[in-house]
Amino acid sequence: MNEYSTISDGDSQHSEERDLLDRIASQECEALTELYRRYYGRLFKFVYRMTGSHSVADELVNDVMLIVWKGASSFRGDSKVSTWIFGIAYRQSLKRLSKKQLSVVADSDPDNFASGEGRNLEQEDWVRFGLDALPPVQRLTICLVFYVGLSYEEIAKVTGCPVNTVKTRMFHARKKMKERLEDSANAAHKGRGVQ
Amino acid sequence: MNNLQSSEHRSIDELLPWYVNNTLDDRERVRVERHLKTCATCQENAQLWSQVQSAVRRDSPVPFVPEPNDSALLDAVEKDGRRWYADGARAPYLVAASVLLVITAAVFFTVGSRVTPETPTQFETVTSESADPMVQYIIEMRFKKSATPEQRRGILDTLGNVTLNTPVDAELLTLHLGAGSLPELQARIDDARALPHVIDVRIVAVHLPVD
Repeated sequence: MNEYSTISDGDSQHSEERDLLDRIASQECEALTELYRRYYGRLFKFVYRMTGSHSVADELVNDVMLIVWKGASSFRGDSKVSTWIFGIAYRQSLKRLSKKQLSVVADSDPDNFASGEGRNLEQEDWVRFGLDALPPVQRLTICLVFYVGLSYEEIAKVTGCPVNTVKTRMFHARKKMKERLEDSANAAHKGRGVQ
Repeated sequence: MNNLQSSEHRSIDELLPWYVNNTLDDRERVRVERHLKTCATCQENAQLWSQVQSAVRRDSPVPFVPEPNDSALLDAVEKDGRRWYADGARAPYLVAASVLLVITAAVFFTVGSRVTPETPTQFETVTSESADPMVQYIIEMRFKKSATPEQRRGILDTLGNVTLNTPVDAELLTLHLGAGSLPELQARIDDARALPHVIDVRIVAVHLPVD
């Protein structure tokens, strides 16, 4: 592990989950329930970050698991089970976002940041403020990298994009975040100057 | 920095998110670590990605995660199964209905096309192979000559994430714009039309990516 990484993301559960998928492919409801319980928390957080709505996130997790139920027999095993499931979640979230234009949890009013009122902002709050400025595709890619912990090849598989597109999305996401953070920092600085 | 160093820098910079999430292979990791020792920009970028990782992995942005409730899922599974079963039982009726539908459609298109004037499509549809799964709209935009490049850029920003195909100071700008839905895009365009310095904005084509 390098000095920047904080969580190791070993997938020792893979063979167990593979067995569960085989049982789901044979229409065993108990196996589906087991997989659902294992993934619910992670999937919920992943889709919640995209939609900002508890009810929509809950609905999306169910949609994802229903697709797993119907498609378990088509899982070819050339990726981890988690990669396959998060790939489904990625596509469902994008579909939902493009239909309804839901936005991420928006506690990111720039005025609050400029005036510093009411909140003692830590570094991570600033980062989240930057994340909120990103278009859905870039936010989803960031979640796949840091929340799900996928490699760039896995993300390319999940999203159906060339590896270079995945890398470019991250490059542009960082550029946009930095710009937004710099703008807010300048605004905050000016605000303090006036007072 | 010479060209070779610059291309190495760019290539390392692109790997940083995966250096931080610890999924690079050993060879790439060693390459990144060697570069990080001497590149302050990449150190700063790795630090930013590390903060993004902590922010994304921390639970606080999700107020609470409800307990998994599998009953809704099992209901959906059951309904799905029942639907398939019912479809099987009703198969003869479905076949008859499909045949009737095909005949009706054939009659409608044969007779209807003679009496109904052709409705022009609102705008052209173009397709191309694209890595980006989002539908893009191709927009033409005309500014007043007095509009400065900064004013133009400011107005373009209000439309969203645009990709310009022409210089920003061109008389007629062409741009690509991703949007969730046509009504939502039209609302944004209506707003842009009302802005100072803008003469007209219109959608000329919709670009559909194909695999």
